[in-house]
Amino acid sequence: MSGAPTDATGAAADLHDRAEELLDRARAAGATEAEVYGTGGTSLSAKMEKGDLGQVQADEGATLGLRVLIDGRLGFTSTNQLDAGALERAAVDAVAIARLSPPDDANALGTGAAIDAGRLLGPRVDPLLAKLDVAEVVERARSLSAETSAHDGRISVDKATVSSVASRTVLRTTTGIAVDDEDAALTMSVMALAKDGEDTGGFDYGGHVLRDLADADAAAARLSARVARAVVGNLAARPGESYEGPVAFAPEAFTTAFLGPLLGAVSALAVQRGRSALAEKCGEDVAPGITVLDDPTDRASAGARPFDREGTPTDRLSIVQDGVLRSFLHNGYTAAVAGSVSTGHAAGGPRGVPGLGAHAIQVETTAADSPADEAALLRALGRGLYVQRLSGSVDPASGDFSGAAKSARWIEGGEIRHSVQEVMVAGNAFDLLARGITITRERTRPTGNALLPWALVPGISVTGGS
Amino acid sequence: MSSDPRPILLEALARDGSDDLVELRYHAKRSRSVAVEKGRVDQAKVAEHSGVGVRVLADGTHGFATTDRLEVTAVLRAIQTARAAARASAAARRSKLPRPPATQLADGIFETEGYAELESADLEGRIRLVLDMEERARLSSARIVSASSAYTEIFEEKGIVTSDGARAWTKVARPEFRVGAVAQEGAELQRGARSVGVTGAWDCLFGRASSEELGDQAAGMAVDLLSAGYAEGGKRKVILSPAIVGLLTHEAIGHTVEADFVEAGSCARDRIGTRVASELVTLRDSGTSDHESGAGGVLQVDDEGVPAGQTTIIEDGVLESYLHDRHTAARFDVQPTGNARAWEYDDEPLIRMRNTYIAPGESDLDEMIAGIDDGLILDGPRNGQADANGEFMFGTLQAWSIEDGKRGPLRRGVNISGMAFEVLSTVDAVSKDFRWDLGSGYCGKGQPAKVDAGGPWVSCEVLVGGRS
Repeated sequence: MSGAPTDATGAAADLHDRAEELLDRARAAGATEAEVYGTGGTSLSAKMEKGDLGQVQADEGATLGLRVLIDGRLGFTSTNQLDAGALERAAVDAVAIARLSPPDDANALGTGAAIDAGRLLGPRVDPLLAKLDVAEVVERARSLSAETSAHDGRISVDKATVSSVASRTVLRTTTGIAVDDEDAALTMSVMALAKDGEDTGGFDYGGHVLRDLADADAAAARLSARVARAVVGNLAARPGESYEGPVAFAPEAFTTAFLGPLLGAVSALAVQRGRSALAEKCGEDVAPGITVLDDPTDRASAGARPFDREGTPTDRLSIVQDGVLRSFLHNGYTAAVAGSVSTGHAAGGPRGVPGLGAHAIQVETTAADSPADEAALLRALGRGLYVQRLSGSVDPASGDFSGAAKSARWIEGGEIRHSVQEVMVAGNAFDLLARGITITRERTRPTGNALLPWALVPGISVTGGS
Repeated sequence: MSSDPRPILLEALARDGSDDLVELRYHAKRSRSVAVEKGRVDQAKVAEHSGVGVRVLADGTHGFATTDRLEVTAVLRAIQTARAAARASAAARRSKLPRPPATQLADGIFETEGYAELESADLEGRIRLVLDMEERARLSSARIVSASSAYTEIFEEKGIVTSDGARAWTKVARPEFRVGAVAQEGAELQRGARSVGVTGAWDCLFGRASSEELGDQAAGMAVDLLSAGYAEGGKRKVILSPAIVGLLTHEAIGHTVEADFVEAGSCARDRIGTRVASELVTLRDSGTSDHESGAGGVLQVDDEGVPAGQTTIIEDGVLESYLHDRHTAARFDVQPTGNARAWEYDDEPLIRMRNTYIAPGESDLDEMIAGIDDGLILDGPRNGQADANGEFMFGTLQAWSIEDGKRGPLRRGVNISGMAFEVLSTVDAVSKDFRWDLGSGYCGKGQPAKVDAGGPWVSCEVLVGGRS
């Protein structure tokens, strides 16, 4: 299929037929309830390595995941082999597993609320994106690599990858859900470093996902500029100094240290399993001046989707409104445990039981005096550390985070003075959010999905190697 | 699982009949998993993902295509697709990729211990184990508010056939077991966890500690951490446990010596033959389970068909070798080291580690502790990352103070950082013990890879992230 455009009708063409066949086989094998979730499609990708073409890859395939329930007992199988024998094995195995599992009253399938056909992605797939051929994908990868290198002669682009993906999703259940959708996207990523004589700066990388080919050139330009700026800025790094006080976080670092723990703690599964620090905080002020919402209706986000992994329609959900925790995220299982309804946050693919997660997060300030943008935030910091990525670990239960500050900069007089390495930051996400952090009005989508601000956080422990 | 896949691959190769270098890799992955949290079964599944990955070197360019069908016509079509992709994009490749020189390639059947035993076991016992261990951890203390347990076993079967002579059929089984617990006191939550993973069977998995002991240790860790304070940050003298040494060798050194990173400009570039560590440090990456059985990353043949042997990366402190696939080995004018690995059939082979370790030394752990006035003992691997410039970070679950030569109170886990070769140069003691202890871990480099790492107890100096 080289030279041919990506096309979701390849191996996935009869995916809905195979899904229905698997559902029938599950019933025949003894399942009282069954759900088949399938994805399939085609992709073309090209990878530039150190400025030259590395590999060109053409993929085609589909996978079905079968969840069966027998009197509340769970069994699950997945397979990418769609012949009759493989589907029969998948059905028999899932039923056998279910018969071995203990019953759980909360195990139930979705019931199939109506999905707004106007929100399906398929009818709006960009025809130009779906027609990209190998030569065009290669040229976009070559251009992304060259554009990044062209920013500065000291930049070495380790990898620049562009992929065009066309996919189809199907969901069938014995409870009556039968939904299909199609999607197409262009993904791009760059990983680079800069070398100046003996000085090797730290790596930096970035990625982006988009659904409209018309946006691709501008997105590639932004991505290459951002990575180039970061890796050149990483040269001539000095060891950081130790202090306790304010630290500025770029959107990626803000996500690792703060947004990740927050979203983990608002998962109803974490609440029900006793590992959420926010379990008793609904209705309380947990992040003054900040609103966090999930908006899968926003097609500009790569996370946009009309229905979740269980077929529940998705919708805009306010999680934290002006600092106050408003809602936990539910899938069908946690909703059954809580005696409530799913918020449409069943997540995951066909190779596992539905999980739980946000789709397209947006974080925004509600504070009247919030800084406009990154520059204003650094001026507000005045003197201190600016962390652009956090290479560390976060304990989702306690909210403790600690890690090495990457692509870090030392700020004096509100401006970047030099790169910093060998410096670690630590704190507790929930404590710091509750005490109040400052975020910018300007926001960006660093990966094409979540819409995120820059943040200024007081009270961070900074440990430097100097 | 399936019968020998090589005849189908060989027939497709014969029918193609081209002079291009064609590499065919049938890769069937079947996993069985059970996961339980707080008494509820979250996952009970069998997953199968199999197909053939085809790489063709045509016009000095690699094309890669896949098919999920192990059938001659489907494989032949994938060969043609990969070749067409290579040719369609060859104009964009400035420096044509030469055919790698002839090298010893694997021919035969390679099966690791435990495959047949695990494959014949039923799932019921696995489900029972996970349910029992979760319950045991959850009920072990009134302060445990939640516990979890999971078991996964992955069966991998590959047929690797290349137009220049590889004819390998490999079978590997890797079981893993995890148990975790969350303890609470007031608003304070702390987590404990233990996990094991091996290449082998059930006896090997629980050879060092039983599932009950692992559950008790995880619960005890969570409860003990509730009353633990934070460690003081800064440049600290530390003794790293074998698990943390494993993280150090993997994150701080292993990635920087992967030849693709070296070519990109990692800190190991142009350092072969130079001193990069204390003379107490000898560091290897091996496809076999050296020093102790059961390493989780055992590999007999890599995904280019190269036998996966043992590579000495650092010997007595001097950098001796990078890790290679066939193509980087040719560019560096050395033999391939058997490090080309792909996670699934539709992933391209990348240079990845296998089992990475520091070789045991001659010191005694108690004497090492006695020789430190003010320091930390670090154990319990969490996550880790490394940068091209050698700066690494990784987290530990636990830390203990060393005060006046004695092991002091438990502290909460810390994150440590440093520049790889600088830290290795501060190594001043290496114990005579040895343990593989990263077998439930996976390496991420665009695609996962099952790896293990370990070593002895090692004394060195690192930057510790602290909190007041």
